[in-house]
Parts: sequence; structure tokens; C-alpha cells
Amino acid sequence: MRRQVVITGVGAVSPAGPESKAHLSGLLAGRSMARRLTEPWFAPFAHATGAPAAVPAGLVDVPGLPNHVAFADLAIAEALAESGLDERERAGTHVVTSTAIGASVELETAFRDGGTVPPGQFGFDLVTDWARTRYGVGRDRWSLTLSTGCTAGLDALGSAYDAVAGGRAERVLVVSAEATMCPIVLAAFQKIGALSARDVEPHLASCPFSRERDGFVLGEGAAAVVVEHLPAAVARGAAPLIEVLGWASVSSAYHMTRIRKTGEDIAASMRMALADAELPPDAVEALDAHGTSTRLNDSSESAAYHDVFGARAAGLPVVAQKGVTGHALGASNLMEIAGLTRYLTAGVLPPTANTGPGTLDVELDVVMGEPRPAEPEVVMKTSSGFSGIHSAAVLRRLS
Amino acid sequence: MRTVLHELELVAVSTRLPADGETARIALGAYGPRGRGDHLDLPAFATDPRQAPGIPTHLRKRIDRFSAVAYLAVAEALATLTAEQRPAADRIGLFLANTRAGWSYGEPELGLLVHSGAESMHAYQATAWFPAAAQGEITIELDLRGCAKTTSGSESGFGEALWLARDALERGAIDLAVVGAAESLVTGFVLRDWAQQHPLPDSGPAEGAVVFALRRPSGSPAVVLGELRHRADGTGPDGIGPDGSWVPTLAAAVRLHRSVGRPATGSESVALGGGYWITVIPMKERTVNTVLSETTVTGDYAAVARHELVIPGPVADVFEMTRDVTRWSEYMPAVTAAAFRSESTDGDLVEITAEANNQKHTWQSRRTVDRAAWTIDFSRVGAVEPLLSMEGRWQFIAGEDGTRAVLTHRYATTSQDSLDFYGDATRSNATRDLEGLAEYFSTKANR
Repeated sequence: MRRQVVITGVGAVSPAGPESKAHLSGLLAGRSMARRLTEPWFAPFAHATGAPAAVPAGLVDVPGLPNHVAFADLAIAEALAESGLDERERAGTHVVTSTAIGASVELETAFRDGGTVPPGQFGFDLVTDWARTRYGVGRDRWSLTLSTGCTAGLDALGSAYDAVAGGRAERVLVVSAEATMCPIVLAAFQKIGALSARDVEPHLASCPFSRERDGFVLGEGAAAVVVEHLPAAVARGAAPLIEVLGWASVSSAYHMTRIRKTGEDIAASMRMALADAELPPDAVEALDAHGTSTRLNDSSESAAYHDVFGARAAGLPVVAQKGVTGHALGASNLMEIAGLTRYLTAGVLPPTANTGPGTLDVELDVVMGEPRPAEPEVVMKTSSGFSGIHSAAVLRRLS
Repeated sequence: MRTVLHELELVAVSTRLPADGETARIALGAYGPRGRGDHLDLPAFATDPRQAPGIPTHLRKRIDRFSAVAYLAVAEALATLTAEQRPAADRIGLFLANTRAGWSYGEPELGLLVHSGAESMHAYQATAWFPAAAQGEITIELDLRGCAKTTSGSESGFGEALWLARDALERGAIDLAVVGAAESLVTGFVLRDWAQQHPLPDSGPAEGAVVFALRRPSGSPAVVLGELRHRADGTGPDGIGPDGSWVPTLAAAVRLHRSVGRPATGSESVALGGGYWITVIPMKERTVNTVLSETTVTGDYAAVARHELVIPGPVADVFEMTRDVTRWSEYMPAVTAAAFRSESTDGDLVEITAEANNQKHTWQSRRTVDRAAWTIDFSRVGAVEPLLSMEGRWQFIAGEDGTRAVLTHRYATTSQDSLDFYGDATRSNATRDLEGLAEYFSTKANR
């Protein structure tokens, strides 16, 4: 019998708000948070659109913090508060963090102005250090820092799951954070045609699974979840929110940015995750997609769903959160896990922004228009990233 | 089912490091640190490794130097594998540490962005700079389709990569893990990481890659990496803390490489940085007949541990030697006393005093002996919390080289800490007991 692994605390900072309930409200409203980027350093760009994290000035009370660490700070505080861990329990908690691009905003700023670079900003483990020093989490425990591109959040959750399910940890704090609003990031993704370039209002640009999709919109933010061994959580009186049943990750060995149109690599990650969870495909009742709004991702993901679920695929509800939040790169998956935890607990599936029956481009039951009351028990989360990485996780709603 | 791995078998090693005394001259120019002069000579490749003969031509213009050295090291390690050692593409994983990303590609691109505009940038910035770039280019070029991950802990990234590789092997996702560190600090901008008032590092390479190909123990003669672990204070038995190297992850991988290549007289603990440690068990200590050990977590605070070894003696003799607990202290190092409290056809009651985790324990165990099947089942009597139960079986199988002894323990406890305690004790004692039994028959046979 596998050790049961649950999530007992969730925090999220997203373009929809600085905490997870605001994030959920934004998802349920189904309206994109993207806007035109008007900050001076974006002036040379003919087309600069993004969905910045909605963090009011002064909310993070530590000046000089890199943006992604500031986002992580809020998410960690929220997740720890919900989990109810006391000081001793925090100290005994391990830490797994992830980011794809680290302190890119601050490094570009230093590059431009010739200023000094504060210690650690060339590195990728600032959030790990922050969780230790600010919140006393895992001061004397092992930590992992993952930087696996856009699957990083799910990979971090999977690594924490391995530790708890395998008996190496009772409790792990998982954090993913990304700050993307700087010219080098915008330019890099524009250069390869990954971003939406349509001549539409920014809030209409991201439209996962729509035939009008032409690329993603940059998002940013952070999420934190407390992953625990179920008996340990119950013993301290915590209320488990959702169960993690298994995960997997594969490499496509195909292309740094492209995905095979057949979706076979995404399907491979899904099948391995189901095998890890010891569940058949028929057990899955809903899907939370990577859903970037790029031509290739959404069609490949749809193909993978049909490959794995066969005739059932067309009837499985599919949620695509990036329509609202944009794509927060390495933090996106964990932000979506945070959203998933909240919407499953609320018994409702959020609609996909900007995609309607008239524009739907796939044979899937993509949730559109209005939030849909539903209580699926087993949900699969899929994700893909540059470098040909495909990761998937299986989660269970706890009634 | 996940099987806990305590050891990883080393099947290949490869390095791509600058030669002793080799340096790369880094022009600090507009982007380098102030107050350090016009240039710095770093312990790095004098010529750009992207132009090395082993790099495919189509990769040269689209990758960073750290990806180039990683590619060369991984390709070489895989090239040394035998057909038996190399599994199918989807069973090979790649786990690389990279802690500073790729500024030999990224710095010129930032310069183009700032001075010439985004249109002047090259498309590969999006895929060359980030730490997972090497992982992607290598898996694509070498057709590796298993789980691949990149770790970035500044001090502990290499230990983290080993950790994730071990996890992937444990959950059965892959059969071979290529694990290493790949770094390159050879640009002015990234050298701003050291403020003017701080001395520059003075040890280890500033560029290079070291990789290890690892798999589950197969029983073949091999160097073995054991007990990947983390110590709370960041130091180990020798009190070694964070080093003063250019890149701690690369320095740690170099330390491990040196240890596995050294003609050691015994096992050696190697600091991996950030509190991670691993033990190198040289081939000299391991013969073909080595105790195979695996532990499987079977539920909440419950596990099964299986140990086996070929004992050089006839099955009847080995069985009898094991049945007669009064002889245990002769060859089982952990046992200080053992006696029968009662013997009957229904079963024996034995009392054993032994050391476990440096503490002396006495307990009674009820045993059922089946001479026809060559098995001895045992179950601890009156287990006291935190131990809930401890039972198992000795099984003896006659073979051409002697008798294969299989010792299985099933145990349950009340907490993770106690599960770890009994896991450590069971593994240590079962290994020593089986080795003692083999040594006894080996010595007896020689007399």
C-alpha cells in the first residue's frame, strides 16, 4: 500500500490577485488579466502585452526583494497559514522550489544600469533561501531547487510527492515563482513566435483551444502548497484539501520548442502518471490542461487526450486556466494546481477565457462561458515545456 | 510499487574539464564587475567548447558553452556503455545541475537587445540561456526519452540531481540515470556575482561538466554509490562545509569523480555540497557475491526489507547453522548472545541480544522451522511501541555455487522516525549477518 499524500495548504499570487481566493475569483470570472505593458522599458516594442501579477504596492514588506521572491513570499505565507503548521513543524518541513528564469527582471535591470548585482541573483534558489530565513521552513532539512522550464511547478510537486510517498519525508513545502515582465523575456518569446501577435485588445489575446489562438500571453506569479503524509496531517488536526495520487515526466527527444502533433509524448506522460497512481484511464473524470493558446500546444494536447481516453475524451471536462492568467512559465503549473485545489473544493469548474462554442477548435468538452458546477473525483493535470519535457499528475478531490 | 534504493551502481563516468593550468581570458568590458581590471583569467577552456569536434555542427550556433560541455560529457559516457548496460531510449533519464544558466549566449543577446533593439536578437535566446537548455538539447540529440530534470541549488545542485535520479529509479520510471553537473561562468556579466569587496574563488574549475551513469544494483562487480543523504548542519564527518570553489556543483561532481577513480582501501564519504553526502564503495570491497539489499515501503510506517547473498556451503549445513541460534554470535557481528528458551515441533522461542544503531537490544522471537522447504519463519514476541511488528523469513535455495540465503523482514512502526530507525538497523544487521555467514563458510571451506 502506497503512503497517502495530501495537500493541506495552498497559496497563490497571480494576475488575478495576491492570494488564492482572489485567484479563484479571477478564474471563475473567466476574463483575461492581460493588458498592454506601458512601462518605459517596453516602449521600443510595437506589441507588448502581458498579465502582470496583481500585487498592490507595499503588500510585501521587504524592500529590494526580487519580484519572483516577493510573489513567493505571499504564496508561502498563505499556504503555511492554511496548513496550520507550528514553528517546530515548519522547521521539520523540507522545501522544493522551482523557477525557470529566476531573477531575470533584476538581472536585466543591472545589466542596463551597470549596477551591482545583489548576492544570489544569478542563482535560482533565492526562494529556497527565503522560505528558510523568513518562514523558518526546513532550516535543517534537505531542499531541492528545480529549473525545468515550463513544467517546473509540476515537477516540483512530483518530487515532493516522491519524497512523501517513498517515506523520505513527512511534509514538504513546494513553491514555484516566476517574474516575467521584462524586455529580454518578452523579446525572446516574441522572436520565436510563441506569443500572441494578433491585433486585438490584450484581454482577448489568450484563448486556449480556440481556432483564433496564435500564441500565449506572458503571465507571472507564484504558488505554494504544503504536501503531507496523510496520517501526519490528520494527527496534527489539519484538514486535507486534495490528494496527490501519482505523477510522471518524460522527454520527447524531438524539438526544443515544438511538440509532436500526434501528442504521443504528452500521452506517454499521462499514461505513466496513471500507472504511478495505479489507476486506469477510465478513473479520470476531468482534465486541467496546459492550454497555452499556441497553435501547436493545444492541438497536440487534444490529440493526447483522445489517445489516452479514446471515445471518453470528448466528454471529459477540460479546464484551461491560462486564458485568464497568461503563461507564468515555470510557476504556471503550480499556480494551476492551486487553482485546481480551490475550484475542486468549491465544486465548480472555471470557464476558459475568450473561447466559446463558436470558436472551439478541438473535440473536447472545454469549459466555456460560465463556471460549471461539477464534482469530479479524479483529475489529471498535464503540462509541457521547452526542452521537450512533458509532465502529468493525478489528483483526487477529497469530499 | 516503489522500491527504496540504498545504493546506485556506477556504470560509466565522463568528464569534460579544462586541463590543469588551462585558462580562458575573459574581457570584462562594459558588463563585467568594476574594479577587477580589463580582464580575468579563469580556470576554463581556452577555446570555446562549442567548437569542439564532438559538437554537432547544427548545435554550435544555438547553444551556450555549458550545454556544449554537458553534451560532450554525456555523449562520451553513453558511448562507453555495453549493449547490456544501455536500456531503451525511454528508459534513460538525464539529471543535470546548472546553477548560473548560460551567459556566454545570454550576455551578447542582452547587449543586442539594449543597444540594437529586439529585432537584432537571435531566436535561440529562448532556448539557449535557461538552465534546462542542456537537458533539452542533449535529450533531443541523443534520443533520450526518459524523465529528465535540471536542478539549480547553488551549493547543493549536484546532490539534488543525484536525489532526483535516485527517485526516478526508485519509482521505476527509468532504468539508467545519467547524472552530472555542467557549468560555465566565462563572461564578464556573470562575474558580477562577486562584488568588488569580496575575493574571487580560488579553487575548482569555472567551466566544465562531469557526469555519471547509474543504475539499480545488478550484482555485477562495480563501484557503488551508497546512502545518498543530507546532514542537518551542512557538514559531514570531516566537518567540511561550503567550499571556496568557482562553482560548488561542479566542484562536488569533480570530488565524486576523483573518489570513484581512486584506488581506495575502503568506503569514502563524499561531500556533495549544501549538506548532501554520498558514500563511494569501491569495487575492491564488492565481489560478485555481494549482499543485495532492497527495502520497499508498503504502507504507512511499514516496509519490507529483502537481503540476499550466496553462502559457499551446502544448503543443509547453511540451514542448520542458521537454525541453531546458539552459534549466531560466532559469525553474526551484531549478535552478542542468542539462546533457545523453548524448542518444540510447533516452533522455537529464542532470545537474542544484539546491537542495532549502536544500542544494545534484547528481544524474543518465535520461529517456525520447515526443513523440507529450507525456511525459517520468525516473528518478534511482544513488540513494544514504536515497533508494532517485526516478522520475516530465512529462505535457503541450493545452487551451483553454494546456497542462496534470502532474508526478508516485514516491519511496522508508529512513526516515520522509528521506521527509519528500524530500517537502518535491519539493513545494517542483515548485511553484516549474511556477510558473517558467508565468511564463516568461506573460512571453514578453506580449513
